[in-house]
Amino acid sequence: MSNNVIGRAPAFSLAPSRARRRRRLFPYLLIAPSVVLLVAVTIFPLFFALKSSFYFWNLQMGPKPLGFIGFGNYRMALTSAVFMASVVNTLVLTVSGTVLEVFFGLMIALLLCHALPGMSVARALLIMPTTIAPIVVGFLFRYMYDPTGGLIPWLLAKAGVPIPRTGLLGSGLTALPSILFADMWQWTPFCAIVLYAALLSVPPHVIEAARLDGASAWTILRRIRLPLIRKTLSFVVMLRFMQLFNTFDLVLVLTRGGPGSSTRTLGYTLYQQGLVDFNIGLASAMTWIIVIMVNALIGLYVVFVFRDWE
Amino acid sequence: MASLGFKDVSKRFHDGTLALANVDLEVAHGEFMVLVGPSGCGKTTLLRSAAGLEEITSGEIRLGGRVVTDVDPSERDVAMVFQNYALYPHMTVRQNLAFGLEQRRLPGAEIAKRVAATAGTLGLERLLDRKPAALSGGQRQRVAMGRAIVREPACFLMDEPLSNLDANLRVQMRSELKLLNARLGVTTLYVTHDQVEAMTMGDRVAVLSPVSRPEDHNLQQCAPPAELYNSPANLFVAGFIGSPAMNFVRARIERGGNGPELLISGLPSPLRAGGRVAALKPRLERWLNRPVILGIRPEFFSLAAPGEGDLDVDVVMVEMTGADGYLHFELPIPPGPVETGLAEETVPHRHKQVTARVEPKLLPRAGTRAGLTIDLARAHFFDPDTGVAIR
Amino acid sequence: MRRKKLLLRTGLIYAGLILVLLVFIGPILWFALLAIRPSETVFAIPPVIFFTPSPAAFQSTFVDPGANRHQLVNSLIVAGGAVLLNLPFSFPAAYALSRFRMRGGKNMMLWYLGLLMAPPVAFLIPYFVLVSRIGLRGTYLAMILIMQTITIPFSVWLMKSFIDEVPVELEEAARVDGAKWPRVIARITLPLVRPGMIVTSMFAFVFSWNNAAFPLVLSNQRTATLPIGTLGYFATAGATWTFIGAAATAAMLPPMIIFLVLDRYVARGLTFGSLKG
Repeated sequence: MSNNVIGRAPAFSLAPSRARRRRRLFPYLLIAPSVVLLVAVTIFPLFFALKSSFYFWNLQMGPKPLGFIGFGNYRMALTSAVFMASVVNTLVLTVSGTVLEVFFGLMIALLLCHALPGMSVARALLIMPTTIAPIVVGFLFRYMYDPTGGLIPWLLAKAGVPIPRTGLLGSGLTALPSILFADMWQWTPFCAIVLYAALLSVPPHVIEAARLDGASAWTILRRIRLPLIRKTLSFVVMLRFMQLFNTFDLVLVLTRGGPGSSTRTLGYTLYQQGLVDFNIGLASAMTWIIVIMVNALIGLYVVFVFRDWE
Repeated sequence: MASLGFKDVSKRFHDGTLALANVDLEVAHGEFMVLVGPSGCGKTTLLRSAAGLEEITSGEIRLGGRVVTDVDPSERDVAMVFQNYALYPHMTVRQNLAFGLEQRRLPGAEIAKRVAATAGTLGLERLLDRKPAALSGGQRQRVAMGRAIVREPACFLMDEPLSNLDANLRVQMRSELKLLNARLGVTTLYVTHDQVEAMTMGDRVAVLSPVSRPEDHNLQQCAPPAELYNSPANLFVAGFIGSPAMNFVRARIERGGNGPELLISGLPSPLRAGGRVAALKPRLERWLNRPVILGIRPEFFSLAAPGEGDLDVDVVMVEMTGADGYLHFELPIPPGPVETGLAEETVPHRHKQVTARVEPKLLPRAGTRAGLTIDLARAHFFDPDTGVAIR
Repeated sequence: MRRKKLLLRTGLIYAGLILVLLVFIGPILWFALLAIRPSETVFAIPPVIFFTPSPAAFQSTFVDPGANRHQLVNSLIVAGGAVLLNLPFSFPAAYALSRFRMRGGKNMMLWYLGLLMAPPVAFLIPYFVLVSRIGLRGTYLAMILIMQTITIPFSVWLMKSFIDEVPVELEEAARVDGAKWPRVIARITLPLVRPGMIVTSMFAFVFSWNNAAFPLVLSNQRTATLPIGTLGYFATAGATWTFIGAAATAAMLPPMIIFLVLDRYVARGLTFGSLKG
C-alpha cells in the first residue's frame, strides 16, 4: 500500500472547537488572579492619585478635596526648588551609586573567582550587608557616622582626613556622599555575588583558548568575560538603578533630607509632602511626575539593552 | 486495540514553521508502523499530535474509528514512551507503573495484578521499590515500556525510545520490542531517525521529509521495508533508505546503433551493455534523448577486469568493514544547468563520488584502475524534475 | 621562580579578601556589639573593643518592659502573612508563564518587573488615603496586601525559573496516562517544585520582613513592626543606642540566617531567577 508523491489539494481547515478554545484560555485564567490583585493594589491607587492630583487637597485642612485646580499642583511641584533639588539629588545618587556599586562589585567578583580554600565561606559572609533591612543599615551608619564618638569620624581623623565641624551628616557637602557610601556598603556585595555567579558561567574552555592565543588577563576580562556576561551586567545595572532611584529608608534615618535639602530624594520628598504635611493633592501630582520619569528612563533602558532578550 | 488514522493533517507552529502538510496515513489494527526521516521531517510532531500533545492546524485524527482530533490526551487511551523516558522521579517504579491505572479509577487489586504481570514480563520484579534515579539506562527504558504496557491501551506511541541506549543494548532491545509487539499485538506508531532500526522493526515504514510550502507532503512513501528498499517511490526515499546510500548520477538515454544506449554524465561514451538497456526499453520509452537520474546501489556493481566491464575507473579510496568492502571512485561532472525540485540535494558536484560494494578479498588498491559492471536490471531511474521513480 | 610568583599572588588575593570582609562584616559586628555594651562605652573615644558585656539592653527591649517584643511578633505576622497570601496568587501565574506560550507573556514579565520600579512611596500615599477611608488603617491586612506589590512580581519571576526546571515531558506523560490538569499539577509539578517554592517563600519573607516604608505609614502602635518600633528610640534629646542595637540585631538575624541556609540559591534569588548558580 505505497503512496505516490504527486500532490493533492489541501482539504478543509478546522474551526477551533469549544474544547480547543477552552484550552487556549486556560493560561490566562491562571494569571488572572495575581494580575487582578496587583491591579487592585497598585493601578487603582495610582489612578486615584491621578484624580487627586488635580485637586487642592490637604488633610490638615479637611478630609475632602477642596477644589479643582487643574494642573496647579503640577506647576507648583515643577517650580518648587525643593522638588527640583530632589530630582537632582536623586539622579546624582542613582547614577553615581549604580556606577560605583557595579564597578566595585565587579572587582570583588573577580577576586572571588579564584578557587581558593575558604572562598565559599567568604561568599556566604559577604552577602550579609545585603540581607539587612535598609532602615537598619540606616541605624548602623547613624551610629558609625556620629560626630561625638562614631567609628568612621574617628578613623578618618586618625587618617588625617578633615571632617566638617557639623559632622559628616551635618554638612551639605558630605551628607549626600555619606548616604551614598551607606548604600554602597549595603549593595556592592549584591553586585559582587551576582556578577561572580555570572562570571562562573563563562565556559572555561573559552578562557583557556584565549590564554593559549596569548591574551593578557586584562584583555581576557575586557574582550571575553565582560561581553559574555553582558546580560547579567545589564540586569544588575537596571536593578540597582531602580532601587537607588527609590532611596528612602536611608534618608529617613540619617538626615531627614537635610541639611537644607542637600539629601532630599524624590522618595523622601514625596513622603514628606503626602504623609507628614498631608498635602495629598500636591503629593499625587509629584507621584505622577515621578512615575512618568521612572518609566521613561527604564523604558529607554529596556528598549536599548533588552532588545534580544528572552 | 484499534487502528490509527491521519487524514489531511497539517500543522503550523506559532512562529510560522510548517511542520506537517497534508499527511494521510493509516495504521492498521495491530500493525507496527515506523515513522522515519531526517531531523525536521515532522515525525515527532505527527506522533505527538496522535497523543494530543500537539494541536493540529487542520485535518482529522481517528483512533479506532473515533475522531479524536480535539480530544484531551488524558481521554484518548493511548500510551506513550518518551525519548528520555519521562519517568516520575519522585515515585517508585511500582508507583510509576500504577499511575496511569489509578487515573482510570481501576480497583486496587486489579492495579496490583497488572503491575505484577507487567513487571514480570519485563523483568522488573526486583526493581519495583526503587526510584528512577537508582536505575540504569536500560532499566529505566524498561520501566518506560512497562508504564505503557500496563495500561493496555488502544495504541502505543513511541518516540525514539532506544536512541539513548548504547549500541549493544539498542540492538538487543530492538528484537525484544519486536517480540513484545508480536505477543501483545497492539497497534504501534514508532518514531526513529535511524533507518536501520526502521527497516528491521517495522511492518510498514513511512518515510517523511521536511516541508516548506502548504502544498508539499511530508509523507514520501509508506510500504513494507522490502518494498521501500527495492521499489523506492522517489529520490528522497531511495537516498534515505540503505546504507551506504544509493549513488545518483545523471544520465541520458540515447539512440545508438544497436538500440537505446545509456550515456552516463561524465563518461566519454555510452555503457557498453547496449543490449541490457534495450531490455529496459518499455519503461524508458518516453525518456529517449531526455536526461534521467540513475540510481545505483553499491551492491549493483560487480568487479570486472579493466576493459571488460561497463566502465573503467580510478580507485580513489577503499574501505573494509570486515564483511563488506567498498570502493570509491569519481565521475567528472560536465558543467550544465542545475536541476531544481526534489532532486536538488542529489545534484552532483564537480566530481561525483560513487561507492561500489565489492568482495573484501577482491578489493583493489587505491590508485589502481578497476573495471566495473552495473546490474542495470536492478538499477533505478528517476525523473530529474519531480524526483519520482520511473516505473 | 614561578612558585614564588604564585605564592605572592595567593597572598595578595587573601589580603584583598580579608580587607573586603573587614569592610563589609566589620561594621555589622561593631553595630551588633551595641546590644551588649555598657552605655558609657557606646561613644567612648578611642573606641572600646573590650568590655564586660551587659544584657541590660536585651532585657529592656524584649523582656521587661519588652516594648519590642510584640513588634517582633508583628514583623513575623506581616512577613509571614505576606508570604502566605502571595503563594496562591503567584504560583499559577508562574506556572502559566513557564508552560504556555502566551501572547504578551514577555510583556507581562516586564510589567511585573516594572512594578518594582516605581517608588513604593508612590502607591503608599493614595493607598494610605484609601485604606484610612475604609477603616483598615493600622491593620495587618492593609500591610500584607500592599506587600504583595513586592512579593508577587518577585515570586512569579523566581518560581517560573524553578518550574522551568521540571521537564515538561513529565507533565505530558501524566496527561497521556489519563490525568487532567489539576491532577497533573498536584501530583507531578508541585512535588517536584516544592524545594523551589520553599526557596521563593523564604526570599519573599526576607523582603517583606525588611520593608520599612509600608509599615511606617500603615501601622499603628499596636501593629508596628520591629524596625519601626526601633525608630522610636531616636528622641530629640539623644538616642538610647544600646536599645537600638538590641532591637536592630533582632531584626537583622532572621534574614541573615535565611540567607546562610539558602546560600546555594542566593544569586538566583537576588536576580529574581534569571541567573542560575
